[in-house]
Amino acid sequence: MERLIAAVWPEAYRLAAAILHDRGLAEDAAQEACAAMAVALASLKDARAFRSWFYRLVVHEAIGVARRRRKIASLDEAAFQPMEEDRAQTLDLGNALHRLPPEQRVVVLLHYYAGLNSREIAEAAKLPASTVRFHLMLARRALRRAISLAEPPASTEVVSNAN
Amino acid sequence: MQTEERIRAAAHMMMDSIPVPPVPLDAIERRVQQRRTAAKTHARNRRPMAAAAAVLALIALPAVAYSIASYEARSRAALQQHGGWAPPPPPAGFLARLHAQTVTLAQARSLVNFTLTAPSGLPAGAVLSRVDISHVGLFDGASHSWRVGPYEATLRYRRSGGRFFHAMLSRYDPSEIPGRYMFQDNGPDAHGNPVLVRYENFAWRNGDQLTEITADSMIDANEIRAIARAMHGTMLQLPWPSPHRLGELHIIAP
Repeated sequence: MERLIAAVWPEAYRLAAAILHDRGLAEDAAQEACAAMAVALASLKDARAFRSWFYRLVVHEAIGVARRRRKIASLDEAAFQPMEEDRAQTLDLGNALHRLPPEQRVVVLLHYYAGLNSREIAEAAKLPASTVRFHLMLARRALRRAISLAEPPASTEVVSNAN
Repeated sequence: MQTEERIRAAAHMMMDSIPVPPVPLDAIERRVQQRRTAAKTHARNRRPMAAAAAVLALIALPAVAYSIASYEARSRAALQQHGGWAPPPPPAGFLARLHAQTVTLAQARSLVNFTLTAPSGLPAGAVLSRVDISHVGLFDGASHSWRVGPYEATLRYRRSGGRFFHAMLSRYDPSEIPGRYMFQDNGPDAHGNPVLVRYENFAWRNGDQLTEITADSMIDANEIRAIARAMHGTMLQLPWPSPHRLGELHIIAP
């Protein structure tokens, strides 16, 4: 079991940190998720479902930790420190990802990072699959906007003024 | 780059940039005990059965994203079957001492005991996305014991299409040449038959550095050879089965 915990710990911590934006709370949530996994592993009937099952534990614990600390994830935006302007320009897509509402950020990370499909995300986040697809659609729209803003159109080209 | 790929890359960059603290096994174990104690009051007779089944479930897990835990046990079985020999299982808690930590390339250079040279001649579009260091676990056939070896560095490179591959860099030691093959048990297929996949390792030497890359669906043998050529490395003939009866455990963060 130690070996399994060592294997899943980085994913658990990173996902919790991405949801909570707080290292201490993330460690708390990741520890709880690993403990929950150790206790409940026997209840997992299909080993192929391990990933979405484990992510569900992490998401559940992260939201639970946030609520217990009266820092519900959706209200935790104050903890987010905006990047300096020049850095934000180069990392604006990552910045936009940070700025997504927590439920959209979770869905995006589970889809694009963890590689889960909408059904698996629905299981992990305890959301209807249609809601997952809706969040994904909204998140994509916001991220596309960030990409388009990062690429100035040709009309913004600076031309020198003739004196 | 397509929008979907850019979003995927941003998600990976965001997650990969989060430094991970060491695994707090003691704290997790305490929480496990707390949960079990709480559950005991509600279902006193169920816990022993759950604990026993947990071991079986662990063994049955597919070795895909979470292959590290099962890799050790499964690869030993495969080595025994196909190489004629395998090291004994490491002692309890040994694997936790090998945990990986994410560092910068500069930090990795200061921690390893060899002159770290990052691979060059990478496949088009490959980008270094993470550097991990971990101790390598070594089994010595002479003393018949496992020991924690020096740091090795694992460089993770991201490719298009969500692919990635690893280059493992360690101190070159002529008495510890890796074997030619690595085995991974991908669990049972739809008919319940075990699926065993054999991968070919490639290794070359640059000064006191040994670079190892395993060919798989993420990077093929020709691409690996191109890296070795670009680094002007001395390609090593990897033995199979290993005559030294050495076991190695590498931890790669998922």
